[in-house]
Amino acid sequence: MLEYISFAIMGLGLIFMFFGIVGIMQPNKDFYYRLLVTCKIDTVGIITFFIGLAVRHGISFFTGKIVLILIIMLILNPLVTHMVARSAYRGGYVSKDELEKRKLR
Amino acid sequence: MNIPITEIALSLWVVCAVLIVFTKKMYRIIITFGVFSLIGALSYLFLGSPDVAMAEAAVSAFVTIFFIVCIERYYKFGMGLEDEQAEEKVKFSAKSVGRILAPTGFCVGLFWLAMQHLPMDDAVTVLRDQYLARFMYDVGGMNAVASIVLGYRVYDTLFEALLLVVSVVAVAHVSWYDKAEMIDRRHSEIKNSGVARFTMRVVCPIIIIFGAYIIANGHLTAGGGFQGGLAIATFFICRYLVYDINDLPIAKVMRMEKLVFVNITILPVLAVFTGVTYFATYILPLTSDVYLVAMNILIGFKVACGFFVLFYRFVAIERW
Repeated sequence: MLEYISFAIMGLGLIFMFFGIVGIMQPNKDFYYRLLVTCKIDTVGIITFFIGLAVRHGISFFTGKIVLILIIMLILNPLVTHMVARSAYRGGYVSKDELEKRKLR
Repeated sequence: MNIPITEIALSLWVVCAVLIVFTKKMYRIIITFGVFSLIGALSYLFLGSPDVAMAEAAVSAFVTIFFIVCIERYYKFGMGLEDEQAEEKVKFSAKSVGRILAPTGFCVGLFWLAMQHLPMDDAVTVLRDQYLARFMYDVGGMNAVASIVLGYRVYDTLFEALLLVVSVVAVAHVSWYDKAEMIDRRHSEIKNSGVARFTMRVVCPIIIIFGAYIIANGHLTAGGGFQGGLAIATFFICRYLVYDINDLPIAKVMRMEKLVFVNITILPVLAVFTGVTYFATYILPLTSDVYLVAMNILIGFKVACGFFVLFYRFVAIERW
């Protein structure tokens, strides 16, 4: 029973990753859109997948390791996305919509 | 039809070596050197060691680019070689193109002939089975990869470390400016975000502990000097990126890296090539572990220093 639940959770993680990849492949979208979608793969997909793995293995030493990795991922992955977006904004990158708005003014 | 391909390749190797010695112009020497390496890789392939052939091809590609970059650099700053530059004007005539294309085409043809002669059986795994069966007695440690890298294949590890040293020296040389080292504590104009600062304060101790654990435990579990050294270098890179400090003496770190590389070459010469580990494991099981741990620590130290210097040189390029 626990095994099926864990498979369902891992499948949910795979679905999140699939949507993220579909979002990256969208044509005519600018950088910030793609960044927002990419962090779905990094953060949401992997966290769901790891929760599934932890459920599958029950309470053991292996689960402890997974939880440790999960905490580190939870701290670091949003930070990475934040840094990339921030440096792009600081470096003067402007999205297409913003550019058109500025032209209209 | 039985063509003595190995002999042909080896004799061409000698011809290329002679050409390298007696050519006077720099660019021509580099191209001949590339052909030399290619023929070397081919003859390694014929003699039954495709892994060494792959390494030779990769190293030759790297070295060619490195030499070309260095020579461009010298011409740019006018540090010697001016007379040669005056007489060497690259002309794309049919003769000069043919001079390059003819050896290349010949080597491609030779490679095609070699592919006809390769055996198409299953891969021979006798050596792998031997390694897996005997590594605990021969080298020691629980991790087969560590014992292969530090025991059976020390030469490969030495050259891998040497490649890192060469790349660090190349980056330091190419990114050399007249201005002094980055010792001043000037901060950049951009303020760092508070999120990154807080998170790094939490995570940096974990990174250091993780790297030290991987290095010290490399002979028992997955890991080793290269990976752990990279993790420790990450700490210094994060420290720069978040706190925006560059108060570390880069020249001293570079010198220290070279000294550690000398130690890395000396230790296997004393331990492995004289056979100390092989005999000592039967008497004292501890000895080989001491050797493995010492090698891992040295390699980790060297890799950390190397990547640290690489990163800081790129930062220097960006700043000035």
